[in-house]
Amino acid sequence: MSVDRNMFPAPADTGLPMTNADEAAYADLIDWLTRHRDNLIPAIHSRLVDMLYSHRSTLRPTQIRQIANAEIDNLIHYLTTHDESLISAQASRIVDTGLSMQALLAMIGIFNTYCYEHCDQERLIPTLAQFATYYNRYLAYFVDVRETVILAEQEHIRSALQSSFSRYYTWLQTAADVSRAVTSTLDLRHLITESVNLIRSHFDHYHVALYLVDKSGHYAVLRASSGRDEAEIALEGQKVRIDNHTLVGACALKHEARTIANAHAETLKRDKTLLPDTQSVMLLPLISRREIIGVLVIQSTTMSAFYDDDITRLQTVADQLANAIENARLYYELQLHSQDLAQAVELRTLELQKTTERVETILDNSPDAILLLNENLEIELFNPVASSMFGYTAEEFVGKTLDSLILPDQMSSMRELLDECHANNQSRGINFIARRNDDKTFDAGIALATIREYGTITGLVCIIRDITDQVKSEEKIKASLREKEVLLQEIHHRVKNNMQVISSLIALQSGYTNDDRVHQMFRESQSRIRSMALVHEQLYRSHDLARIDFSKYIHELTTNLMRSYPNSAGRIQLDVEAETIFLDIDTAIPCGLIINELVSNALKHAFPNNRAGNIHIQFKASDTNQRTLIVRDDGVGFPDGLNVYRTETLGMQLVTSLTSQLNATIGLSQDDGTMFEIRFTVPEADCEDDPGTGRAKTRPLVERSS
Amino acid sequence: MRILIVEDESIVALEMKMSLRRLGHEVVGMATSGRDAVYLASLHRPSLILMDIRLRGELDGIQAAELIRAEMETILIFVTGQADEATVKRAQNAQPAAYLNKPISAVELAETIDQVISAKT
Repeated sequence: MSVDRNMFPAPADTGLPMTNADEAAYADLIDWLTRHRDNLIPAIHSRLVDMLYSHRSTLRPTQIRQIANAEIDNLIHYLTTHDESLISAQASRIVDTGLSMQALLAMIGIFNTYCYEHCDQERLIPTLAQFATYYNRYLAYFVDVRETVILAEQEHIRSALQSSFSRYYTWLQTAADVSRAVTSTLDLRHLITESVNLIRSHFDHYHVALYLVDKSGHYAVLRASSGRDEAEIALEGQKVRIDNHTLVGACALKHEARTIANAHAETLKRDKTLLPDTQSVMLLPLISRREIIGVLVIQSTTMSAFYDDDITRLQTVADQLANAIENARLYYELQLHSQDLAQAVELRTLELQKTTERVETILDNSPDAILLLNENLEIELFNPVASSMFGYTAEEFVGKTLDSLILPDQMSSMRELLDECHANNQSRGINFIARRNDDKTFDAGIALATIREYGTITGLVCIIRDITDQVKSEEKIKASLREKEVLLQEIHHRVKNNMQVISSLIALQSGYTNDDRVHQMFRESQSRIRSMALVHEQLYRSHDLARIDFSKYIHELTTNLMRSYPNSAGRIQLDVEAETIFLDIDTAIPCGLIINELVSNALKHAFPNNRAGNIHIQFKASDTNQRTLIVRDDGVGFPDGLNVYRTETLGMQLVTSLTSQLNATIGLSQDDGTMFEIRFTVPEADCEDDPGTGRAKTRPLVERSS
Repeated sequence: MRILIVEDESIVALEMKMSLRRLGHEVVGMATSGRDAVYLASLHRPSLILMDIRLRGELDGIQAAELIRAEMETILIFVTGQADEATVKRAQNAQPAAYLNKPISAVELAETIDQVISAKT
């Protein structure tokens, strides 16, 4: 836009010659203006102030006053000199102050108003005409200058927009490239190297570095950098403590992005993370899942290279990078874990292989048949012994059921065994009759165990042993044992018979004398022999052939003794109180003889002159292996002054000798009749096996006979 | 009284014979086996037989007694050690007049024989 100067002709350009009257009028006008200058300036000032305040202009009051002064002075100056450049200069200044066209028109309005109010009628028209000429030119220049300024401003704005757009485009490009780079790889080293290279190349920065927080969480360690060689060397392997002493440390500590416009500040001189040529720097925290994982540092050799909105933009890239790094780390850990798992699987496979080989060795070399049965009791696996034991080929054996290996009448006991196995996971071993493929049978032992998978029974392990030889051996041993028992029984019988023969021989011998004392001696001998024979007789009748029920023996013996003394019948009462106690032959014979002597003695001497009375025999287990025999009578007792233990009678000598043989103690009480108490011990083993007495199983047997 | 003694221990039998003689009885024979007992019984036809149950040989006392009982009427007394229940039950078939437990005293022998004779008459 250009100014049409013809529309606002200068006075000199009117084409009309300046007359003397005109000269005088000019002088008068200048004079009028000069006189009214001090009134006009405050009027213009006041109007401008009102106007500009209402438009919130940034012009200070002094500037407004200068404008008002300049307006009047410039007008006076122009009217005096007619210098056109004064108008254009004033228009330029007004444009520079930023005043609008409206303000300019307002000032013109003030002049006009002032003229109407203060000029006389003659002077008013020429004056307004002169002012109009001046302001026409003034407005033309103002518009011209203003247009130029606006065009310049528009160009400036366009250029700034272009720069901003270009910068924004670069950010977008960088973000896209980094995004592409971080999603294209899971290799951590490659990922961070590529990212810092991209950021640096897109912005042509001096240096870009990436620090990652180490496992301890106390240090940030330089992991990748991109820049000139000397810069890279300066920072290589850097490890920074996470604290406020360095920019990197502080960024990691506070999780805050930051730009530093002037990196030469005093406080940053010792910061080792900054390079010598760095003028400005931007730090961005790398945060993933709310945890700081590192810091991205961009250094520039240009002062104030970074704007605040750069942080917002690049933080997006940094966040993306942080997530990618975390993903890469997780992937790396996953890979490590996978490797560990693969190794574990390999190791386990090897162990399994070894175990399998061992189990196979055991199966192949086992003398027993080992079968694996499924839930239907069908054979799934077996060792070589199994098929040969039952006379099948391997092909025939698979799928056979357990029933087919057993005689039908054995199945009920096998069912019981299976139930037991299901209840307890394993069974005891039982013997059964096994059936071969050719229907031959053999003795076998079987034991079962369950196979469980996740608590459910899926099959059975079945171990079968051919016990044919064992059964034969057992039968032989049993037969041999039975034979020996019979022999032993026979021996005891023979001994008993021989004793009876001896007794008979004595009886026959006694028939050849008429001496009563001799008869008596023979009878006593017979009685002693019978007491011994009775032990052998009871031995061959007892089950174990080694021990006899001594209570039974006492009853038998004393009954016989009573029969041997017919004159005691009805007069002397015999009372036996004996617990069921078993004694072996070595104890039973001396004990029997002692009872024989003491009871015979009581029957002979305790009840003279047909005296009535009682004989009481007690036999008991007074302790675990302690036995007590008591023989008591309520007869007349021993004669006064007689020492029982020193008596010369055979009976008492036998009693003391036999007591000694038993390692027994003997006690004598003569308070009310006579009482012998004999205590002796028996071996522990005899007590434990004792079927009758045991330790608390004594059973008193009280029987009265006469 | 004419008595046959059946006892495989000859000395024991001899003692019994002496005792019986002292009691005034006639011992018509002494057998040491079941087979001899049957033979001597058929030969002497004794009025009383003292029969030991346990005898060596193919016949025991009960079997021999049953064979004799099938042929003749006689008084039978079984002489035994401690006989078990099964043996006593089996012995009942031979209808014994009495049992005597070994060892037998002369008094017991006399009393038992007296008892069975008086029961018979």
